[in-house]
Amino acid sequence: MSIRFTIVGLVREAESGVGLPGLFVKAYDKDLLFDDLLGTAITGADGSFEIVAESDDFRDFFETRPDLYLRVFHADRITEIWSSKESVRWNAGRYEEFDVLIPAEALGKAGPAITLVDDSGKTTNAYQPGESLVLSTIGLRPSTQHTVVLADETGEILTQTFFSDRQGEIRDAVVWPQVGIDDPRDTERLPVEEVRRRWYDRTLTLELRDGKRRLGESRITIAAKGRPLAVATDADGRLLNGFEIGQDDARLTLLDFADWNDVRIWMVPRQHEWHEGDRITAVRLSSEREAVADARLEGEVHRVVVGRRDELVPGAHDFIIRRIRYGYEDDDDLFLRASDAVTSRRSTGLVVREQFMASKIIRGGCTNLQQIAGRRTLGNIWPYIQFSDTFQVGEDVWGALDPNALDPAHTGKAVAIYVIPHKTAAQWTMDNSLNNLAVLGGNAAVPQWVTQSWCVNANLRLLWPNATQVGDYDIVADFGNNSPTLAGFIHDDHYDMPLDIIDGYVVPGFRIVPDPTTDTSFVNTGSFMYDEGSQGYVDVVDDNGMTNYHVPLKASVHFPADVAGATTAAQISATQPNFPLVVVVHGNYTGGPGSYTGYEYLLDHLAKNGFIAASIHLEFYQSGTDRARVLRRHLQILFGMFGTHAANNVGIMGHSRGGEAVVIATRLNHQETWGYNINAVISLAPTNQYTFEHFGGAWARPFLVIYGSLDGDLGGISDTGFELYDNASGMKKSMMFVYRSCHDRYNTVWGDGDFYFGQLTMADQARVLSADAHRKIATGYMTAFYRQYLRAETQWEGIFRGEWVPAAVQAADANMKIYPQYEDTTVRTIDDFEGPHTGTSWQTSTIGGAVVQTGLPSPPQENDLRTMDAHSPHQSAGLLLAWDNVTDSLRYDIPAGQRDVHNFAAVSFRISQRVDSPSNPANQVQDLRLTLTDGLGMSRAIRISKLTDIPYPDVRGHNVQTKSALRTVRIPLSVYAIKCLGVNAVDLTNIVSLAFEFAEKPAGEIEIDSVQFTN
Amino acid sequence: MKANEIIRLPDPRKQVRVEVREVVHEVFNRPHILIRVRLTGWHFPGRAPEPFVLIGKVVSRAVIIDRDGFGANAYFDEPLPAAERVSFGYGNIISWDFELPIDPETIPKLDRNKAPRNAIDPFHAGLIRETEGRSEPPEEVVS
Repeated sequence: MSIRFTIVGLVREAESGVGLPGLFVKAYDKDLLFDDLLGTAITGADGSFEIVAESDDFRDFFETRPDLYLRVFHADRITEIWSSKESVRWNAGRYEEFDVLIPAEALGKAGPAITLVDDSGKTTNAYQPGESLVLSTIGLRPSTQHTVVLADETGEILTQTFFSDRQGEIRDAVVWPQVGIDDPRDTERLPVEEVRRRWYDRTLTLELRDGKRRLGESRITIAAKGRPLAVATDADGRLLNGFEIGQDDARLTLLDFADWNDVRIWMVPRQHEWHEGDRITAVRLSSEREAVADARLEGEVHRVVVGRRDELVPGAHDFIIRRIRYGYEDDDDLFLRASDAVTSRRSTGLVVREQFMASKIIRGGCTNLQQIAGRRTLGNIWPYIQFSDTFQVGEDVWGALDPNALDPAHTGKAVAIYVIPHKTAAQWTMDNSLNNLAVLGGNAAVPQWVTQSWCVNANLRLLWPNATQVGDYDIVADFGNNSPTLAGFIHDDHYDMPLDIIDGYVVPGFRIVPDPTTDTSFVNTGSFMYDEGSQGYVDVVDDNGMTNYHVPLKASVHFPADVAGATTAAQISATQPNFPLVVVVHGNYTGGPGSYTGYEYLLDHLAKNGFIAASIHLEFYQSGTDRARVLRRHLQILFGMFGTHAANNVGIMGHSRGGEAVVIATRLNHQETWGYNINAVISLAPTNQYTFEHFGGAWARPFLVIYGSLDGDLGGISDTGFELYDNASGMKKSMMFVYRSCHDRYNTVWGDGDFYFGQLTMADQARVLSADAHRKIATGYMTAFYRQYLRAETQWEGIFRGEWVPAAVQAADANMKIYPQYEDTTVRTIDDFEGPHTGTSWQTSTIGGAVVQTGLPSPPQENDLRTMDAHSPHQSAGLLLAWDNVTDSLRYDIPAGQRDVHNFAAVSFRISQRVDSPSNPANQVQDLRLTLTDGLGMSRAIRISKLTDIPYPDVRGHNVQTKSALRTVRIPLSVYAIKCLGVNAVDLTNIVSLAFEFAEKPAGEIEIDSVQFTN
Repeated sequence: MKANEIIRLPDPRKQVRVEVREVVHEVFNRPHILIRVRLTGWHFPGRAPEPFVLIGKVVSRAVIIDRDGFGANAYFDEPLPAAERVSFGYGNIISWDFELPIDPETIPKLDRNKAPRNAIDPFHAGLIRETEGRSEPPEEVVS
């Protein structure tokens, strides 16, 4: 039997005793010939490390204990800075502690390596004007703020600060976004052709500092003559990469393009990387014209308007310039060519910002909400940020001020960024002071820089390396004394409206939470399989009564264990008296045997989280009720095997036909008194075609449905999990509609089976999330659900209300989009649209108040959603309405006696954009405001898009299968009461009306349902 | 390449064959007389949605696909209309139309005198016929 050895320790600087994070520790067993590597670790924020080894890792013929020594390396994992090889711990015990003291001198042995790269990602020290100066450095002190100073012979040009990450690296940090076409020291802005000349053939010095210590220096040169350059400017040629909509034209200044003669310029959506062969799709302007301009170039300097100010649309855009030859059809080819020019690769060509006041969450108020927290992903060499609200313990938290949403007044201004614990509405209302986390050095160490207008990468910083403190946090951008230079900047340690920006305030800006996708409580698991040889068969008949099945009883079982390699139920962990049981029921897959073995990844993770987890076999073509009856037989077997170690606390999960079967099983368990406490039910991509369950009543149990927009097997509008969800009641229920998720990738045996049923076009197939992303979705959501309802861990509840997505799920794909539905058991329904439907039934709500529309082009329709919209996957009544003016609205009056809502947590509703409606602009989110008004006439209108998305439908290749899928929008009621400069709070004890105000988009067509106050 | 060098592979849908006749099939362990439409010469994958066959405006009561997927039996408890094609689908989506004419006059009939006496016969008035559609499925039997 293998024995476990644990090696723990602390690596510290000898002189100061300070822990050294980010170092690489290797533990060895010394042998006569070859030493065995026992394990490795990276030191944590406090310099601590832990290495766990098994005796199998080192044991020789007579050896029972390791002869232990350590080697400590720099973050580069190559440079050794300490070793105990000369003082081996012979016959080490099962638990060994080390206190490693390393002299500061030794830490400096590997100096940082400064690497500079150009726009093509190649290492260089020579730049063309317009390129971005990008820094990458390794070998730094981990998690430490560093300063980069760029200077010429006259002095400092600019200063930037960057945190090194926990590996001691600064990666792809943009120091100067567009070298040589502006001068950061200038107070007067000059035409780019003039500024460019100033920098020709100059040599600059880049210095890297750690506090006051100079770590290294590098020299850069700027070319003696420019090559063709295109940048967005104003009419006078001054750099203008960003402005608020309506304030200027989209204009390019073209320098040194004279020998191109005739050119065509496309303004296209901003892209992180441009590659030869990428499709060119011009931005469609509000005038319905495509943003394309032809020009004839003569001389050195040209300015070309690609879009007029009155026809621009908000967004981030790049420009593609192509030389056009008369008559050549090739030049009409809308794919990027090597000979085309693209505006700067690392800087967005032009950012057209939406109107800033309209972007505020509370109309008329001065709370500036903006997403700042994010994780940085590295696509080849391109850095960019994926905004996120959730991070795993130990992740790096990055922050960026996206110029797309910055107030013009904020651009070019010094800013200090604070990371603070999230405050409640009451706390914010009482106290707006800021206390940057102590672990980040407090207020004295807040990162500061001067904001840039043209690209998020210039406003991107690592804010919190290796974030290990679990909690909810806000990020505040404090503009202090509103200084244009860092030299004159004083941050004031307060969140001040209207100037400052916050990521958080009404809801947490971000969370550091254990991730159910990766978090475990047991290192070891055991597993075994049983089959008909020991358990026999069960005979069942399908729901049609036409086929009898003789089902062999076989399953795969995983369980928590105390040692590795356990293979019998008797070896279940002794650390607790019993464990909840989870059983998985697969669906119909006839491509090969062994469907039940396709969830091993999930079973193992559940076992590591303290569940006995089994996946059972079903025969080809079995239907619903017969699957449920096979499940019952397996429950009998499993409880028999594990005895008292299996708690009568059961979760069941079914996939596809199995997803319907688990709902049937929950009913039969009650109706036929099977005797199991089924406490959590998950339906993954379920059918709804056999018994048409109305899950609820006496057998209502917490219910989760997961379903993908690119399901290639259940791609139809009807008979899917939407119906199971709609028809469930009396429990906390959630449904996650995952854009780009398919049917089969959740099961490793099924693979891509549903790609080939004719439901997914080739283009659809190319869009499907990776198999790894599917498995992370299943692992994260299902583990959290069972931990919540079988282990009473309430910390996961926000996932199922749609407040956050597990970090590993979010990180699994740069465009992961999961749209939740949630209904609580505590609700006050304003309108559910059920009951008899007439042309005027919408005018009275479920709660008994009047409903009044203003300005809508036609009255709303109340009816079964699928009757009104063939694309609706729902079995529920709802309201269909369109608007064509920003003054249109729909108001619900709340009767006396129902107006005190202060004990509810949120106001919520379900909403969908209607598929194929010409009122909904293609591929754009919709937006509106939800207004509550109290008895004294105080009113707040909350902009939905500042809290969540009303997404455009995920359009399938076979559009007939595109769904008008409702998602739940939840607005915390605290938003209506929190302090907000310029607008009064609403009295939540006396709400007289709730109104949808369609003030944010000029037109739209939506379906809504389930308008309610809720917990 | 010259036009006479081009070859044409047979259209696979034209390889599909249909056989239609009355059969006795047990439904919840009771014999039923049903019309069976058997399709062969095609691969019918097992999927999550239940398969169906549509002839004219009549939808099958159930479809049982062969274990290897290369044949499918569709069972009808209504008379079939004359039709020019047989449609096969899953859920409520037709996947394939097969140009296979159906002539109800030529469907071989069972000799009722030889059929099980307790058979439910939806095609002959006056004989036993379920009105509830389905009887309750029995409990599972463990062997």
